[in-house]
Amino acid sequence: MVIERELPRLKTRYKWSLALLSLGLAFMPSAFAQDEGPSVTLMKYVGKAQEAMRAGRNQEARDEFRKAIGLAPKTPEYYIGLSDACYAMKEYDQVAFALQKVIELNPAMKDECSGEYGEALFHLGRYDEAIPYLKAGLRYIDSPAAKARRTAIAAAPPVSVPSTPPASVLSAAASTQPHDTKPIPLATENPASAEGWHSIATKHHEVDINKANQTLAGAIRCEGIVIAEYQGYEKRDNINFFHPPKAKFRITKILKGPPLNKDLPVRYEFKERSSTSGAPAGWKFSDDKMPAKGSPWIIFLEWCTPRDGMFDTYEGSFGRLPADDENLNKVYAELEKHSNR
Amino acid sequence: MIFPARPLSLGLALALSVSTLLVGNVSYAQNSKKVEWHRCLISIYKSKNQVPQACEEYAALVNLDPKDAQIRFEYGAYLHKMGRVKDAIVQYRKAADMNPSNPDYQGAVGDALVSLKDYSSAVAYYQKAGPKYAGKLSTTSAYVQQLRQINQYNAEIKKRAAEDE
Repeated sequence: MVIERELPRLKTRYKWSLALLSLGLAFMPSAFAQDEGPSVTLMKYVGKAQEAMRAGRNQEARDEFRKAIGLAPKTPEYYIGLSDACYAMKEYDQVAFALQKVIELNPAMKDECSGEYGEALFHLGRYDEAIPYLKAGLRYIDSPAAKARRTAIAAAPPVSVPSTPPASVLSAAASTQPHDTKPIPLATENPASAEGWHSIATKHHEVDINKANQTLAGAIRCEGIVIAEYQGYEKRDNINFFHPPKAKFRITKILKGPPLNKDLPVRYEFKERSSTSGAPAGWKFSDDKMPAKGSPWIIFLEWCTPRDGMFDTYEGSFGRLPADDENLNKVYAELEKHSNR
Repeated sequence: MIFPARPLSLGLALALSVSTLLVGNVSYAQNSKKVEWHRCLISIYKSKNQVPQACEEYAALVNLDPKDAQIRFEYGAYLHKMGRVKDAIVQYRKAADMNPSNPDYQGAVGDALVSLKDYSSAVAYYQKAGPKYAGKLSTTSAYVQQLRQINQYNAEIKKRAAEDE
């Protein structure tokens, strides 16, 4: 019954956001101009987000919108999409964050976003802040401006997925030869041969499959990379090697990924995720296991979504690097390599 | 001459029905948003014990859909809790009239009437409420019976006193 009651409302809500998104897509060049992002990748993210929203896969839509925001952080329409996806999942902190960004980026949309922003603040328990926004939302929803907007959206044609390139472009791409056309040597059983089976087997043997992901190139593919200062940790009784503390970091710079709250709670793992060995003998948690207060760190966030109120670092302790010049240089170099330019 | 007009009128009708459907959906969503936001405000004002503001929001909510019995019932319950029993009865009665089969609405009118010491009217509503309010019905009926007997006894005493004089 609840679903039946909510469905038309959600459908209409999505229609609003999809219509807004289509406007965003229409003005895509301006979004690119401000962010100089890779247009194809952005199109891909937005297209996937729209698809996911239509299919009701809100989590996927949220993730895709976050990726789009990472590439075009000044496009309010993507934040609206993010807020809608999060609203459907009752992630009100994310709704509040996204709508606050919309209002910041486009103050003209303040009235339009007020009601939903107030609702999110209400669910977050921020009652005093919520009241004026809720009232403004109620005032706006009956205003002629809102009516005109609703009429325009209702009359808008259905939103379509970003179109694929024309057939001529696709066929041209298909006919292009790869740069390296040298045949790949086949494995032989001749041990003397450089391409022989044994050499391949030896190479395979050298790779520790557990640590295959522990490369900077792998870490760069994380959803978020930030530079943050260590502030301290939450003291608890049961902190141990496999039950790490909540470390408080303060973001000073976002190198990659969506905008995040400056206060970053991190699951401060003491082991690398892929490590199979247990806790070192005689290991006991103490303050000296934590970094110096105020020290800068490069933190690789596998997903920009907290788990149990803490963000996971990439491959456990591997995802934290001291933010010294050498490490920063390496990270910037890798980021440049992966920037798709 | 008539033939070309038929597809046109069909198309027009189709377009009109689609747009009506869309606008209908939009207005439904708009209304449900308003309800949600008014409910948020009501919760906030209730938590802050700001009674007039909460009543104002309830009234706005009732105006949005005057035929919604549940909202009237909730409004009545809030008024009842705040001691405005007569106002509560007005809302409860409307809810009960709109949905006579709901025992809670009928029972709520009965409870409010009991608060006003109008026991015999309360009994009538408890009867309408059915088995859910059977306990209250029997207690109130017994009490009404007792009151009646007391009144009869008092009347008898008065009558005898008058005769003695």
